[in-house]
Amino acid sequence: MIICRCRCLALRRYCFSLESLGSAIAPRHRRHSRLRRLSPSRCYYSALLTTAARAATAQPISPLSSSSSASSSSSQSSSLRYDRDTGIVFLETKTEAASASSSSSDATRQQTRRPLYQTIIGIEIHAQLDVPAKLFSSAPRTTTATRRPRRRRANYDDDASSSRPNGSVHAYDIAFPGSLPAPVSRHVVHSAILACAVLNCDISRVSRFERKHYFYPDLPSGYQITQQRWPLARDGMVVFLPHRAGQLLKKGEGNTAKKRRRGVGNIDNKDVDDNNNVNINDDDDVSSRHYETANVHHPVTLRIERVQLEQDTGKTTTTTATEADGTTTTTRSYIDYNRAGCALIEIVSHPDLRSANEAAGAVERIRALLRHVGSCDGRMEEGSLRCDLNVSIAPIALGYNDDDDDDDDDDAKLYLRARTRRGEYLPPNTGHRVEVKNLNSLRQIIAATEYEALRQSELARRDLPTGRETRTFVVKPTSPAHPLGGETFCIRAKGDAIDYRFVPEPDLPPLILDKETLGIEGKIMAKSSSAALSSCPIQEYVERFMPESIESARSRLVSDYGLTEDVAQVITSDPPAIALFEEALTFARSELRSLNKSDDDESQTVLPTMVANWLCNDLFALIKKSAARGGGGGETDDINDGSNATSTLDHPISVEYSTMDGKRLGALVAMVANGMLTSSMAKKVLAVMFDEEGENREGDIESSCRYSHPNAVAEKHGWCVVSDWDVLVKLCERVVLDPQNAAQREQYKFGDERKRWKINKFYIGKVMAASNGNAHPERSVGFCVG
Amino acid sequence: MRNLRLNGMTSYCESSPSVALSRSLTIAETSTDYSKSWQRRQRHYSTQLPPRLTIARASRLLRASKLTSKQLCQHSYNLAIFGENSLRLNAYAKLLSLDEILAQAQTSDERIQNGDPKSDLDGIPVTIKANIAVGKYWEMPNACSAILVQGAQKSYDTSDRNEEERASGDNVYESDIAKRLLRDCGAVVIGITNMDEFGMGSLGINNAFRQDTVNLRQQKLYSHTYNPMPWLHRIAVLRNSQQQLLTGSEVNDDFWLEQIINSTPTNPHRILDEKSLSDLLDEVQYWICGDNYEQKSSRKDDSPLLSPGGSSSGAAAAASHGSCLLSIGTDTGGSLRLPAAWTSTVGFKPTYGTWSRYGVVSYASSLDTVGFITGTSECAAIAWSCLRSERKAASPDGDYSCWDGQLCRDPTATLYHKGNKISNNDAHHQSDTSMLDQSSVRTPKPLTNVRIGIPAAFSLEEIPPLIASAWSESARSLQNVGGATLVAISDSNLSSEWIKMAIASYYVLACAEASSNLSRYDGLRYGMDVDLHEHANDIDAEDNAALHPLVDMTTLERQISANRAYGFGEETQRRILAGTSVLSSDRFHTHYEAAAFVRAKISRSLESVFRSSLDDGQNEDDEVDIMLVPTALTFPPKLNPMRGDGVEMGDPTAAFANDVMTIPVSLGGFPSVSVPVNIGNLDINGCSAIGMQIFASRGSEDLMLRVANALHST
Repeated sequence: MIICRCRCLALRRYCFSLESLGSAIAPRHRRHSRLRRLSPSRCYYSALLTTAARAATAQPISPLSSSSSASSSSSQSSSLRYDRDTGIVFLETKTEAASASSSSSDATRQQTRRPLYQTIIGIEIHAQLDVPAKLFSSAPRTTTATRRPRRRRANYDDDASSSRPNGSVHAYDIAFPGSLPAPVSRHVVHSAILACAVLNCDISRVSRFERKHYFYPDLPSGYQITQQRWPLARDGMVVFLPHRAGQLLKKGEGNTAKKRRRGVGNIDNKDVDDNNNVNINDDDDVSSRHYETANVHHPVTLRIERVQLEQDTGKTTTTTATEADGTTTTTRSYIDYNRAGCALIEIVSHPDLRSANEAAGAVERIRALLRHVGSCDGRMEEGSLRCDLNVSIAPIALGYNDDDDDDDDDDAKLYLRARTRRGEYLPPNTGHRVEVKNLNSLRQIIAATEYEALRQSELARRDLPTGRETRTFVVKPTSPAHPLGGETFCIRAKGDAIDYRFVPEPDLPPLILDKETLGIEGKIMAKSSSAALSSCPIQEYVERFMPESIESARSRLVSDYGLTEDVAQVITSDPPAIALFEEALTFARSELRSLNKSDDDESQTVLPTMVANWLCNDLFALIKKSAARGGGGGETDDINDGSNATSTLDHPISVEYSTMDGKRLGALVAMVANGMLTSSMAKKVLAVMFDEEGENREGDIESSCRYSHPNAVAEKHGWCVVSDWDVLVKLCERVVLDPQNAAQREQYKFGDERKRWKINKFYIGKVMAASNGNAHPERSVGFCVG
Repeated sequence: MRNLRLNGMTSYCESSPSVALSRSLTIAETSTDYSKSWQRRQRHYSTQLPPRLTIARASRLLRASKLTSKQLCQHSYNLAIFGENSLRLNAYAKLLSLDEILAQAQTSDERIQNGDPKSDLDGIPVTIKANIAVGKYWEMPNACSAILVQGAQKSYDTSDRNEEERASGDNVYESDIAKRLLRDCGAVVIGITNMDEFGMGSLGINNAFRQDTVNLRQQKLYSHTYNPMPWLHRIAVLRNSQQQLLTGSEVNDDFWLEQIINSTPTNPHRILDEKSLSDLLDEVQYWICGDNYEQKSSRKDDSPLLSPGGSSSGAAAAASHGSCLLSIGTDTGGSLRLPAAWTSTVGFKPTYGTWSRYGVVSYASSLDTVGFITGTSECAAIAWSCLRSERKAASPDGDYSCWDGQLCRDPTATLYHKGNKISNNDAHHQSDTSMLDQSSVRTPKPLTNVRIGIPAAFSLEEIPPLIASAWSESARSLQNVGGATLVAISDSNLSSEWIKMAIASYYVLACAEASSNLSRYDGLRYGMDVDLHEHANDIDAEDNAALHPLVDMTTLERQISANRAYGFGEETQRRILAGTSVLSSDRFHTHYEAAAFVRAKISRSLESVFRSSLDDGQNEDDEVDIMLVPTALTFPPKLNPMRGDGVEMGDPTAAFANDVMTIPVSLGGFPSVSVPVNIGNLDINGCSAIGMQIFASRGSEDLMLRVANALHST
């Protein structure tokens, strides 16, 4: 059903060469330890262009259709396919006639795949900074979706009055005449600097604001304040793994695979020059294994061109009416200026991405990083993180067989070679970049890339190169050809390009990141020695405020607490959970110690795992449930299965969205470890505690004492382990001697071992029932038997 | 040939009669060239103006309980009504009702009676320019004189008000300067003054149309602001004929008390001869409204109607007429100084960013400066000392509560003020207490050690001989009387090359910023909302060419285009288009960046001439404290509403040249003040004074005002 899902790992081994275009040749199992050095001057697309043109004249090509193929004859059909992993557009030709003569089982239908184009993708990410107020005004930042009160920062973002439409609007946000922007607040500076730092950018000490002009109702002042020529940061880098549908990452994968840096720069040149080849890996075996498992396992480096601060726009809601003749007209538009003026960072990447899955993986990674440092909550479905794609296609070069090295071509190699190429070497008049705006989920990113790849390829094959244009993505399926939905429609062609008339913002001084702006004056200098070493205040600031990276947190959890990699992975994927875990653990330990349970061995080894399990299994399950409950479904997202924070839910799966804090979880675990609660009771207690937040919405969210202690919850519901010997004995006697159970008692007396065991279980069940589940099961066993 | 506008004679004139004599001789020579037309009406004019009440005197009378603020404001209201209804000055975009004025005055009176006035300005009648938000008084239809802004206040009040603002009780949108003036200093606002639309224009003729007029012709008639000077001269003649020629000793407190207490809305000037008063008003009516105009067929040259200068035209007219003692305005390229020069008032523009621009409708953000117009330089000094606030650092520490609460909500306000904050405040505290008494104390040589530069770069060929002589005369009197040192700044130190490019640079930058700042007026959130259907016929009928392109647009684009096409005035549209053009990608580098470069050059070369405040002791030969140049090279042009605007409209950029002397100072953000200098005789257009501009290095407003005071007093 999904047209281009690349199930054909085996097919990757097929090779293509110019001579044999259109016909398959035997698969070759070769090791590829070397790749030919690629010189930019070599015009390896010219051959292809002529071929493509020839192909275009030779066989009529149907209008863009990906699922139904255009057939030139009764026996042959060809269609374009897009491989999401490699980013290659194939011309797939199926020859039915050949199938009759073939005896091979897998070739009842002969299929040839000719790689035609490689997608070249760059991304722009707009991330709304998670700060209390707007960028240039004091109006509180709001998001449209209803939120559960958050444990932290709840004091500012749950203001009921400000969440209604246009309820959070300062005079400046609607460009009231004479209103002026407030200088950038420290919250914004903090958030933005950490975001830039985590993307490995060079942060500029001085950045300036500019105005970008265009008329639109949701842009109240007629211009957007942004940063064009003097951005906040430049030249960053993100390493990520391409997105893989429905698969969890294997552990340790990121560490074993060698990182490849592509694109410009010294690294590439050095690699190439020293060895006269592009060095994938020294070890041939490893290298070939990588080939087989396809490139999805390789960490990919995405260069960040710039990060800039800018204002968000308002939100337009239109109501449409359908006329009698079926045309729809916009009857009325409502504009909500709550979002207007919110602080955004725009992250602009170089065109380093080559496939749909890479694009999704890059966005996923950047979102995780931003969430990790707390700059952005990354809720794509709410628009607090949005993505624009720049997609273009480059013809794949097949014609370098003039070289002595004969035929090393295969998919993987094409893919790898494409990675080493950059957008500049694109042939003229083909593959102009097409911008697809406002993609709100990973699924949309993949769908839009695929649609654009096929659309542009189709046009290119017909020798109709696409111009530079801006397109919009429509989520709802409009034709059965695209079951995923997601076609793109042109909103602006090249000729209509807006002249944005950038002008330096005269109302704002430049943003100078000195000690005063950063607010670190004196504080650091006094205390630490590292401050003396680094004279740069930005560096100082980053060192001081940057949270532990995900990787190091994970390894620390593993080494310090003896957690397994999987559990550590789950915890670290939600940064607040790390703190919660440690807090809970500390509290549980101290709780146990205060109860004189000084068996240190246990608390050292078992307790961390217990806490982690409670956190990962039970608490996260509750959060996930509550998120799904609130979200009312949304779009079910088959692509997002693998990601740890699902974007279709009411809110991300984060402990931030529960009222559980470390102390309460720690107390609960301590009670379990103590034997005061059974785990089934504890689960109930946890559920009760988790649901409390809903009841207590109003009132002071700050005071954690309002939430009940697990002890109190257990008492209230009468959940308490009966481990007192006397009570248990009486209970057991009552059950065992109960006349209703006389039959079982007889059976027990005369039964064999197996029977006895069964009866035993039966009694325990009865005891548990009689005690409302409060009896300590292990201890009860003894009595019943007795 | 004495200037009697001030309260009392100055000692300077008497101490150096030779100066006065030589001046009168000079003027006698030059004035022989004047056209005969003026001589025909000579009998009506006098070189004198009616005396002006000063803030110092008014404040003293208030504190001495000889006068109440209510009486004073009543008098001001009378003058304003007389000016609007009888003299047809059109100075006010909105005049407050008498009740509103007296309610404010009442609270001021209570404070003064309790011995606790907020400042020297407590109870003083003031006006505010229409582009400055004045709390609840700013909901007037002519806000900023622009139709597009009309109704803006309403939309802000009803739907979009912030919760915290509601909670704080400050429900109104108010500019920082109005807050400072009215709440902190206790002044009584009596009206909102008229202006060129969005501050664009130098003549006071680009005002937005009044709402109460019926047709376009009437709109044009009533929208101009007129210079009160010709009528004030006439009034002075009338008064002189009824009283004996006033000498200095006669203009004392009793004179003013009598004047104020007996004033009426129909005759606030106390003209006893009712016949001649009604004759005067008939003549006003004749020239402005043109009853039986065709029969009398007067020539345009005969018109006594003058432009007050712009864009703070109403502010200058009101201050000149005397209906307010202080008029807050804004100065972008000379919008306060040029009107002041043409209306014989003092126009003061502090260093860029001194007063917050929050609540001031932006024209060119990097040039807009809040300032004021007063009757005398002494008043200017008092107003400056009252309004200057201890400047809090405008850096919000995390949350914005301090930002919204504090006086200064302008992030650019600290640009030029980081270095000299402390010294300013020290000077402020010293001078604060003695400000009222300073007028009585005269030091013999107040300007010793002050070096005054006469830049050759500003000496353009186009300077009329009358102004050139007044320039050298002023310089000489500052030297002789004030004891200042004159320094000629040669072209090598301050190149005229850059000064000549200043106008071009200014109009590129100002238009560019204006096109950006004015893009918010699309009529969708507030302001004008043109009904497209209603105007469909108009499009066919007359404005076919202008609105034809609308046909291809979407409804939204059509609506925005129609709003802007109908809402903005001609001059505004011209500047928006010019600004849009220079910001377009193919002109940005050639025009905008070049203009910014010229601006930086001018700013830096002017800076280099000023003596830095650090090396006070050493007088370097080519460094100065103050520079003295004329404010304008032209006299106020005649207006004749019956014959078009009275201004050559062939080249709309011709009016730009009026700002040639003020623009270089604005580009550099320097403080500047225009002081009227009496030329002893009526010039060709009926003005008895021209403006001399004094400007200093950034932050040196105190010294600048001292020099202005000395010059004004001579």
